[in-house]
Amino acid sequence: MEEAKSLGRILLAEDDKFLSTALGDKLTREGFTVIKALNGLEAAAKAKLEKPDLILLDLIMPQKTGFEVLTEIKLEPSTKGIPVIVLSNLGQETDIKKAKDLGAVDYLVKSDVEMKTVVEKVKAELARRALK
Amino acid sequence: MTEAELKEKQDQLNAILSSMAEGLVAIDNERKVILMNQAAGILLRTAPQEATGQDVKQVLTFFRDGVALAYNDLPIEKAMVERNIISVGLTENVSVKAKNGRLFPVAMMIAPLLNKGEVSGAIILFRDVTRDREIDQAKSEFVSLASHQLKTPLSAINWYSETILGEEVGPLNDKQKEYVKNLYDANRRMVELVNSLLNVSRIDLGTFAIDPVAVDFAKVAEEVLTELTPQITDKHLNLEKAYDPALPPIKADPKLVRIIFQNLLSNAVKYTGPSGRVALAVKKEGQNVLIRIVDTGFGIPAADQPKIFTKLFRADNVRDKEAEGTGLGLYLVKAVVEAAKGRIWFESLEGKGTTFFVTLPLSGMEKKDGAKGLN
Repeated sequence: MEEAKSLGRILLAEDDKFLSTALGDKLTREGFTVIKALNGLEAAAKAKLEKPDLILLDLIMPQKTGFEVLTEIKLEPSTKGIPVIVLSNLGQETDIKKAKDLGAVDYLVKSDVEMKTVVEKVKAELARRALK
Repeated sequence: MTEAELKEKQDQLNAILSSMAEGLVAIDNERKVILMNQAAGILLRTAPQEATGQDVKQVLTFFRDGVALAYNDLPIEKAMVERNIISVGLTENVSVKAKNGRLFPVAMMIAPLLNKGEVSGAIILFRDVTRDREIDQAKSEFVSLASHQLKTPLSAINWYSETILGEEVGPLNDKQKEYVKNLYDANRRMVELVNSLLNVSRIDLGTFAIDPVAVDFAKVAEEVLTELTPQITDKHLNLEKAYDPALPPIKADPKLVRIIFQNLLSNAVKYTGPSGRVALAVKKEGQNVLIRIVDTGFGIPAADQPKIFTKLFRADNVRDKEAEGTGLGLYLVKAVVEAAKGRIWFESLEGKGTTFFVTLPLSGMEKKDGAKGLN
């Protein structure tokens, strides 16, 4: 059987293995290619190396926080165009504002959001980019 | 009483005053200091003898959130005029400046000094609450950290049950579907409970922020009602809505407005039996916006009515009927309404229903900086 074409390459930066598995499997089932990073250092490195189509970024991660990763990605010319959706359990206005100021296109609170919604947001963002 | 006895009595009184751990300043009707005890002297870095006879304004300068307070805004005048004891708590963020410039947070009690039934001055009793503040800070940090840590496993349960329930990893029989749905719903309630606990801790600490923007109250109410549609449909409730077209957008924090509608409307839906009525009205009334939520539900037993806004309290009649509910909702709503300088009250008859009323000034909420917003 011919392998279906990938809908896009997603870098999933999430240090919790249970969450990473749940969402990674979901994205794979939906037709995406998933690249996983289990800490901030790995996330920043894989963003540069793999140049994914979109990054799902947790904020509280070991070695480097999501804020630091986001800053780095947006400063680096080869990665600054990659859309980043923050996926965190920090839900304060100040965190949301900070992430958006740093260049995140969206901010989702993990405990309040279904994976279905995460997938919809990813698809919508990629479709928006494709139109441009 | 002999002179020796009088002297002994006097010494005893002086000993009591100077041994007190709290600072005490007494003033007369001219607002001049007539007495300052040793603890007050130490806190204010002022010799009690020096302070005596001075205007109280020279001796005690108060600040709120770092801004100096005008003397007329102080509860001293209020206590004297209203003949009431006024207490200024830890969360009111009042500080006093000592003579050496050190600003320290205080909690205080101000009582009118009554002499033969006449107000002859006031007594100000205060203490340094720096340490209490530090403990509160630690408590707040702990609650916030613990809640955040809880949210990660809760998110995992949420996502895995979503996957199983969506039959993405294989079909379920009806019983399995029902049970996983129960798991999923229970987990959602846990998430809501964690969010409520976080909000309550912020309210208790007085650290929550108010960030006002122009808010369309009808729109917020509609969003909340949309979320409640499944329950309203399930119970065949008759929902009535009336939004006053003359109501302008109001400067308010949308999250706080949402907390008000969300809790009151979901209570009305939750505590009304099948085919009952829930009616929402939002209208302009004088200088206020009035929110009225009527239901034909279980009602609040008369004996429970005085306690209904108390933290963690749930009325006896609903504890048997509805397992859901934390006893935090109305406590939160009341705190939010009062922080916005509004008022909340209700009328209720057990077995007939309840009507909640909330008024908020049309002038809107004032901006308040705080460490955390409510969610």
